[in-house]
Amino acid sequence: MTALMQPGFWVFILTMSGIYGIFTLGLQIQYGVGGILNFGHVGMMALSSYTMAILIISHGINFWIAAAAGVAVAALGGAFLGLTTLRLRGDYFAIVSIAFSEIVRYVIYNSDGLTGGVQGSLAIPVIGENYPSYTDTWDSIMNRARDILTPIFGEIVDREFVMAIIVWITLGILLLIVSRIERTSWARVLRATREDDEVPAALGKNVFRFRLQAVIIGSVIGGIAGIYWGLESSLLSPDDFLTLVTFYGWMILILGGATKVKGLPIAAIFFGFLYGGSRFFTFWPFSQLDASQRAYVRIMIIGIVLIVLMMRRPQGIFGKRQEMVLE
Amino acid sequence: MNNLILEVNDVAISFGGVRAVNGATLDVEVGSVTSVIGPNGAGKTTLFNLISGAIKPDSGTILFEGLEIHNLLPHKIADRGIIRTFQGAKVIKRLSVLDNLMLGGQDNPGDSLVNFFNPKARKAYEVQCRERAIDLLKQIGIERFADEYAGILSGGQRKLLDLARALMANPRLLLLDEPFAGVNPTLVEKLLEVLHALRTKHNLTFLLIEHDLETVMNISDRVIVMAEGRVIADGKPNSIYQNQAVIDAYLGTRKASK
Repeated sequence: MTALMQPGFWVFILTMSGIYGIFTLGLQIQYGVGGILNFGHVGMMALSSYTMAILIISHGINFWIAAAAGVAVAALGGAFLGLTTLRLRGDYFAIVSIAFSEIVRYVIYNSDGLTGGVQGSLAIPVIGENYPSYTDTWDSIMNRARDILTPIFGEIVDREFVMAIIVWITLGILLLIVSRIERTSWARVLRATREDDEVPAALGKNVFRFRLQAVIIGSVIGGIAGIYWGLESSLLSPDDFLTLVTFYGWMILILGGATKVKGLPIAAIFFGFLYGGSRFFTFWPFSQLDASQRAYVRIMIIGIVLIVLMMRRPQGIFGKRQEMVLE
Repeated sequence: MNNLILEVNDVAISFGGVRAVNGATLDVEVGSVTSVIGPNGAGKTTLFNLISGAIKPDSGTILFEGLEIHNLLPHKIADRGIIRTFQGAKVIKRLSVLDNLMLGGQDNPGDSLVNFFNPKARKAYEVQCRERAIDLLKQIGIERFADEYAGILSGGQRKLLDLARALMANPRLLLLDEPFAGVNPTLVEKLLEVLHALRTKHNLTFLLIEHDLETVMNISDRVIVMAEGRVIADGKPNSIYQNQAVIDAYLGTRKASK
């Protein structure tokens, strides 16, 4: 129980919540506004974080450029996924998108010479001996930030604390931008395509363009989440990018209310605490289970929460019920 | 030739073994109200789908204002000025009534993501578009539902909304798919009023589909009768009444010989 009392642990949970929040925001614009069922979102995160790591470690490229390139590759991944398969209808797109992210993961798994394969980013071939880790620049930024923040917040400030602040500022900015985007007439057309292709097309709207743009914007946001994911763990492994991660994002999305962004940060924190906090379920009845069994309890709880929500409150914490259920 | 806004030449399309439209030829004069009537399965709605680009013809050509359009995507055809309504009226149920209308606005700078960084242009358009939408809502008498989801509207109100949305797009040719079917007589009067006003004010051309001749008798300049994917009669409403082929098609008289 002692870990429960340590603020550091909760700050870590907060950071992960923020990263998941950013990740989910990408899904929100795709599904909540565009009705696009993307189950391969984690692929964008894998693309951006690995691109960043490879560029820094193998090519000695500047951190900022590498991070930007990572996001750009995620955007390209989204464009590729959209251009090839977005003409499929909703559920078919969902299936193909899962395949997309799995392909990305397997390519990473099997390209030892490029990605380090099973051994993860530790085995990415180093060119020149100055870049053993891809987080060097980031670490020095964090250290400087810590020096600035310590006089303000005191002892509590450590790497994790700084990371949490940066991640949540990023999430805040992105939330602001996305909610602005969702008030434009572009979003109105996208909302119309969520329900029907023919009406917007008959009014002169190129439905495919709007959907493709939504997928690309979502992928950029997913790519940004990937950069933070890579920086937070400072070690990448292909197993970080299981389809399960996408479903965590979906859970947050549905919990917060898919059609609106305002519930998203709260849902992300709820998810983070449930996910991270469930390891402290050592009291009865959970005390009857061993540690590895308890790990599944949180997934069960997440499942139960989702089912109850779908039955009682399909619009999530903040969404409008009619916008989800009106037929 | 110059006052033809739409020319459909020998257009054919089959679905599986069914030739839904089988060599239909017709044209529409600028500023006219032309009605296409015919029994179930005559190919009327398929004809509309062909004109609006929702499906592509197997053969034949479709010209709008003298230019070929049958190979264009639906949104390109809409851009040219052909706007359609849908059989049974299609509204976006989970958008507000007002948003449904504003969806019809053309050349909206806000539809382009680049203009996200040009809020001035976006806002200016939105304000003006909103005003027009509210004006139209008042005309069709459902302005009190402006901020409600369109999904709560009744069938008749949806028809009005569908029509108003098409008008928002400033069409030059308006395709109306059974605008009067299932609408009560008072509402039909209202629709006719709106259409009439539009016609005189904007020199709008109408092509409409109806089930039977009675409905369109008094409002049409010209009636085209379709049966089994072909045009079987074409002329002034009065002349259609006397046409033997039309009577056969509707009453299902056995053909004398083949």
